[in-house]
Amino acid sequence: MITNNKANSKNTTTTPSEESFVKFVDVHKSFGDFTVFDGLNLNILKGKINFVVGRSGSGKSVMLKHILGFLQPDRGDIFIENKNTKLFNTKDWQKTRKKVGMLFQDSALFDSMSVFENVAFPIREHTKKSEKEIKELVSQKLSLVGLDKHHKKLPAELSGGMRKRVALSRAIALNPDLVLFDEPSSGLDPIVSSVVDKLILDIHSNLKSTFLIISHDMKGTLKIAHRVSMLYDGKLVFNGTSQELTNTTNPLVKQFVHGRLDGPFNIFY
Amino acid sequence: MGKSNKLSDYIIIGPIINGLAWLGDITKVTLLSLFYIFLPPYRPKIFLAQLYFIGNGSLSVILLTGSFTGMVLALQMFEVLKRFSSESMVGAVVALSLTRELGPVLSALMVNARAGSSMAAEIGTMKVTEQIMAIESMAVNSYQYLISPRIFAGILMMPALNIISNVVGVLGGYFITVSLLGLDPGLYFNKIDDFMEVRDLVNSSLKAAIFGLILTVVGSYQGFNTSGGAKGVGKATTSAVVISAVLILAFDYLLTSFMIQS
Ligand SMILES: Nc1ncnc2c1ncn2[C@@H]1O[C@H](COP(=O)(O)OP(=O)(O)OP(=O)(O)O)[C@@H](O)[C@H]1O
Ligand SMILES: [Mg+2]
Repeated sequence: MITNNKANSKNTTTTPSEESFVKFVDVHKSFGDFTVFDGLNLNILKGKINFVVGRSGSGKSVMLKHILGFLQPDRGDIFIENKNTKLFNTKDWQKTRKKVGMLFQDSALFDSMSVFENVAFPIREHTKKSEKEIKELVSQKLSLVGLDKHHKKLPAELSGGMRKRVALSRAIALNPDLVLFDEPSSGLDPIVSSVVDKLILDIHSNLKSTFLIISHDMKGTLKIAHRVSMLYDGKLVFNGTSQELTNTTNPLVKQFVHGRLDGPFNIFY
Repeated sequence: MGKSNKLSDYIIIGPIINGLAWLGDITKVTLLSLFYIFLPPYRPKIFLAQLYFIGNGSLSVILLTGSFTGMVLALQMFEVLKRFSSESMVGAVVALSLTRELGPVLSALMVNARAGSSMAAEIGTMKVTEQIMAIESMAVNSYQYLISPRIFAGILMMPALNIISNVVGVLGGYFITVSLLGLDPGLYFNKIDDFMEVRDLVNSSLKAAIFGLILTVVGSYQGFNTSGGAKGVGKATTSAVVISAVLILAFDYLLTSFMIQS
């Protein structure tokens, strides 16, 4: 284990003072015969904006589901705030989940509830705020993503990008310590996409929370990431700053960043 | 197939093992969800919405099935009892058959077709669109949030619907025997009064409550275990209706045999 970490830290600028919020140590996970993680080591640094990139189907969403306890590794350990999740009981998971805000890839809005009620849901469940306070808070969160005028609509009446933004407001409604965003800017137009990038920076500077963002948008990633990790073939193949990502000589990573067809990737996997 | 050494992959043994596993799991979910009814946080709004959904939504269907059942029972029984010159008993026979058997069973089957199926479809859709995972991701217990209010509403609302069904059934029987077949109006109700006991009403309500539990639990549980998109939701809905119907009839037999002995 120790040697593994050393090997990782060689090509990164990780210093001992950089604490990790979530840590994957030699995680293996298969679905039937299909291997998703084959010895994944990954550090999500506390208080940083961490990006994870990788091909479609490389296990990024599966990784987030491990962090919330919806999937368990076959082998290996996941540490959240230095506690091994293997030892977690239901209560521990509840405690952890209260600190985490998750944006699901397909939004996962409650389709029987209005936009307002969707964002109010975590607030109602976990705080004793008055109706007036809830209203203010929800309005504030929705105006952050430019949806203040759509309180009463049902998710089915929104566009995909609007749904994503509502889901984003819901994920940050309780100012979580750890924010998990599964492709926050996919399906958004370039302008709203930049709004989301700016929003992430704003929330981060206000709350100092830890962000773990999965993204296919390399431009946004390079702009706001403190740290980028890349998954390939069930393992971590790159981990470094945006600067290091731009300057990388790793042909695999280079091909991914520039979206080239020629390179080591098997494009028809 | 041949390489697998799981017992559940074999014929005959497989379905039995899977069935037992299902039974064990649904029993666990039922007990947990019943327990969570009494634990905070309480969500009266969701509970009331479910009461309204089961009750108000099923009322018209219950009125129709109840009255037609009472009417056809009266018609049949009048004809049979007349052969023994005891057509005066028709009120008692209709009332007893309805409260003891047909009322709870038929109304449960109707509510199952309406509410049980739609619970399976609604929760199944939430499952496949990751809404249940979203609930859990916000540290909310999804059994307590989704199943508990449904079964609580089912347990309370089914007996009420059952009483309504029995009342309109008896009235339907009255209409047929008195208005169409010419029985003395006083006799119809007198005999009901003579033969029906409080115990019949209590047992009838008990049956209805248990059927209410069965159809809400099975609907929710099949919804929770949905996988595979729209097709999966369809499968969950169908299986929920069929399983509930079979369980309602099986439990009817069990409950009746207890009730007759005691
Ligand atoms: N519950 C599951 N059962 C079986 N296989 C699964 C399950 N969840 C995910 N997989 C498989 O795991 C692999 C990784 O899935 P995942 O959703 O994590 O991909 P991803 O990296 O998020 O891709 P994308 O960028 O397209 O969202 C896929 O091949 C998928 O088929
Ligand atoms: Mg994904």
